[in-house]
Amino acid sequence: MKLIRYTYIRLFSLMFMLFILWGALFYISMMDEVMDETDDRLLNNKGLVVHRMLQQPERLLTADTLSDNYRISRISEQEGLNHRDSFYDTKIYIQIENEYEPMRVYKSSFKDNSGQFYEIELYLSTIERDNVIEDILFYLIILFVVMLGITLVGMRLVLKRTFRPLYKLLDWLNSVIPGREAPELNNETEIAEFKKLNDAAVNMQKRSRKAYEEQKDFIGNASHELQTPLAISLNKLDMLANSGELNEEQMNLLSQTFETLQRATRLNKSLLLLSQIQNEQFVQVSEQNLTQTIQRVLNDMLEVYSDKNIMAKIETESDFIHQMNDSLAVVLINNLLKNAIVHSSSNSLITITSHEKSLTISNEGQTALDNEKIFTRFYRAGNSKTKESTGLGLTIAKEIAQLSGLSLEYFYDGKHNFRLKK
Amino acid sequence: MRQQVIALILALGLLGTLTHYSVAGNNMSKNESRLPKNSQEFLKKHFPSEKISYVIVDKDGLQTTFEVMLTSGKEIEFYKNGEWKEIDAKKTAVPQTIIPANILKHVKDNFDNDVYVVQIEKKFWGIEVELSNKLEVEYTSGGKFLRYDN
Repeated sequence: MKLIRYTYIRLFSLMFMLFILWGALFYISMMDEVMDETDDRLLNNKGLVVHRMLQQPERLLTADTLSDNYRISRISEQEGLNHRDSFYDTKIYIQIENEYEPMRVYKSSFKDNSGQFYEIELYLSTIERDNVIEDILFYLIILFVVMLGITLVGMRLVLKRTFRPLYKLLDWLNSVIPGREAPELNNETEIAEFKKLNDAAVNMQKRSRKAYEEQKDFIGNASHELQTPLAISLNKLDMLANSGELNEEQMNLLSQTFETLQRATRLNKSLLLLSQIQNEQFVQVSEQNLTQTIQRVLNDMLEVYSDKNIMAKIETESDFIHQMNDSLAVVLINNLLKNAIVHSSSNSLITITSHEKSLTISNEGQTALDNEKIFTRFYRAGNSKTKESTGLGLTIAKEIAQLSGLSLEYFYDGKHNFRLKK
Repeated sequence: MRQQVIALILALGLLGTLTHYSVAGNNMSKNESRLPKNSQEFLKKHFPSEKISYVIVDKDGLQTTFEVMLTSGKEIEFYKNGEWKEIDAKKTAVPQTIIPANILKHVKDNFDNDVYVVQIEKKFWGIEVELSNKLEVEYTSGGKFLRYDN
């Protein structure tokens, strides 16, 4: 869940509940106030009516008469002493209007000078009260909806604005590629935490770039410096072999050492090439027909590995042509073809498919390779411990492809496929 | 959380209903006996010949007062502690024994002899007095004259 969404939902549910609570509280207190108003008026009316009755006791003799808004009746002392006041809502038939009208009734009692008890019922129409309550509820609901709507939109805008620098930083981090110059991060913000995050990200990027450069330089320098001692060693071994003073066993050992040293030289050359590619020392580009390059390289390659008796077939729909450095083009094709041949079993078939936008080299194989690791340095798939392999061939191929604006991908569909794509 | 909110709303509603119907608990014979002792003595002392018509226990929010209607029509309101709050003699004279001496003196000094106090009420800021000539006068709690109100 996105940060904005999460925060939004949390804040919104809190607001929603607070609004409901506030609305309920408001409604209850308003209701209470309005109801109280009616009851207070009834209490007040009782005071007035009773006062008038007490002033004119002769009117009490004609009690039991129903007036417009009150009714008085005599009750016994027993009833009077136990009488309880009560308020209640009822409907009373109004003859003139020929309809029932909602009324609030206050039933109470009092005593006159002579000790006679009376029950008094006072009526008050509640049409106005009910209207007021309806109005309050109506406006409360409207207010609730409007407030909620405004909060909803407002909160969303505020959150979006607030978190904008964070999303910009994330985009920038995604765009950073190790070993490449990072684009500038234009992420002005007033929020201290985001400022710190920006600075931290930029610093980290600079440090990692520096470390990357240093490592690259180290590999480049080391392989460069190793070239001469390796060449001298091979030269000296050659001289030793030609001196003719060695017995057969010694010659055998010498030849093994020679082979090992040659392997080391190849490895070193590959590392040097890799660092040269990464340093972008091959800048000149021209139009290269990779399909033709394959045809050229393939025959030599098959000859070198003729003992494996590998068949190759090229299916050309159209030539794969790309703007790139000519030396690198040869190295790329060389590495891919060599990889295919070296890792194929004897008497198997290699298929090359050429389209306008893609070039695929397939060789037979039993199990899929690890897509993640296959292009990393010195990775070798479990069973291939071939002498020929330096573990750098595919890494170099990948680097060349990237540098030349191609993509190199591996997929398995019963065969191992390496596909160059524009 | 949600359940708590609902419970709270229900509780508040209940509370509202309870305060709303508080007056409905009035019971004639009980109310007279619920009237504080000093209020009953006050009535005996200042209104010796009067009888009670009814007593209302008015619980208005946090404040409780006792409203007494006498059979003569006079209304007297007491605080919870039994002290008088308001005396409305309904156009007759409030017994002079109740009225603070300073106020009584001020009325005597400033009005004709036939002017008397018909209503006296304690407010939070002092005492309000209504005279038989319809004039309303305001005093401090100590009985010092404040202003005429009309």
